[in-house]
Amino acid sequence: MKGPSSEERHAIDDLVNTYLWALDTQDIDYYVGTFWDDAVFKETQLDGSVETWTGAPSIREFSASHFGGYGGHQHRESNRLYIPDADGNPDRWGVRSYWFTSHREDGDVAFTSTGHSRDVVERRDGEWRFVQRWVERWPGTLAHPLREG
Amino acid sequence: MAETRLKGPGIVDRIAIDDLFTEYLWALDTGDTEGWLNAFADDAEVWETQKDGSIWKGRGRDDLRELIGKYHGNPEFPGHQHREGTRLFEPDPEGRPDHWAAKSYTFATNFDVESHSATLYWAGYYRDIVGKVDGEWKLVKRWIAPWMGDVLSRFGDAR
Repeated sequence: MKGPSSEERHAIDDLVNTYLWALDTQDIDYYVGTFWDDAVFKETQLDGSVETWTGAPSIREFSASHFGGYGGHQHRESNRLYIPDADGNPDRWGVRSYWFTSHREDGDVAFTSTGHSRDVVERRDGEWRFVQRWVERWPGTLAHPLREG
Repeated sequence: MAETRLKGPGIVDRIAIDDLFTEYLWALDTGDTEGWLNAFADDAEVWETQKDGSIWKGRGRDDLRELIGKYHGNPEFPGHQHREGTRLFEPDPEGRPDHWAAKSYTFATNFDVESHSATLYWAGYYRDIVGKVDGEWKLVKRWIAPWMGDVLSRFGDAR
């Protein structure tokens, strides 16, 4: 089997699911707790520029400022691919996946956005967390992750 | 290489619970009433939050058959597909061995054959207790709820 072991995959599952539940229930402590202290959060903007927040305090400050806008949203992740670390570090994996969001309000539900993420997860002292999370709306002109260097 | 500390069920149990949830969804969406009932322990409990916020509560085969009959007897139900994911495990609140609490997202699409198009129909979440009964994982309790109410309490808007 390529990629992480079964046990590692399930632990990364738990990490991603904890992140998504925290995002959609506005639980900032659980949310920030999925990042290592020196992690980077990146978000590609509609104009193609990339904004970056470095370190858990910075991620907390940014996230707290816009969490309230997500009431009724559910973010879902799938189609996950694991990319080996360029330096061969077995405690670090690149993770590429699809995401989409739904929004429910007054009984009506609708798809609101689709995209993908370029994440890096790292194990420290037996625990997996994000060292990078980079989210981007689906651009339609993306190379297959396994084609990228 | 460092070890991974995996919280929740072990891998074999996770795979079996995956199979249970998948069998439930297939039975739900293919009108297989007996298959759907078979996903539950005999005295399982199901709660279903209604649009008006009230909660339907049932326990045991007869109650559960009544609930699923509401869907499998509805001529507008075929065409729906339910999907489940974002699953998180927590210890069983009653501390029973071979039991886990699970919370997950679920949504339903509806495919219209005439227009050949699919729409998002429903979005919600499950709060479950699963237990190993005679060596087989079953739903001991499932609470089905739309994405509204208490789960959004931090937003200050129950929607």
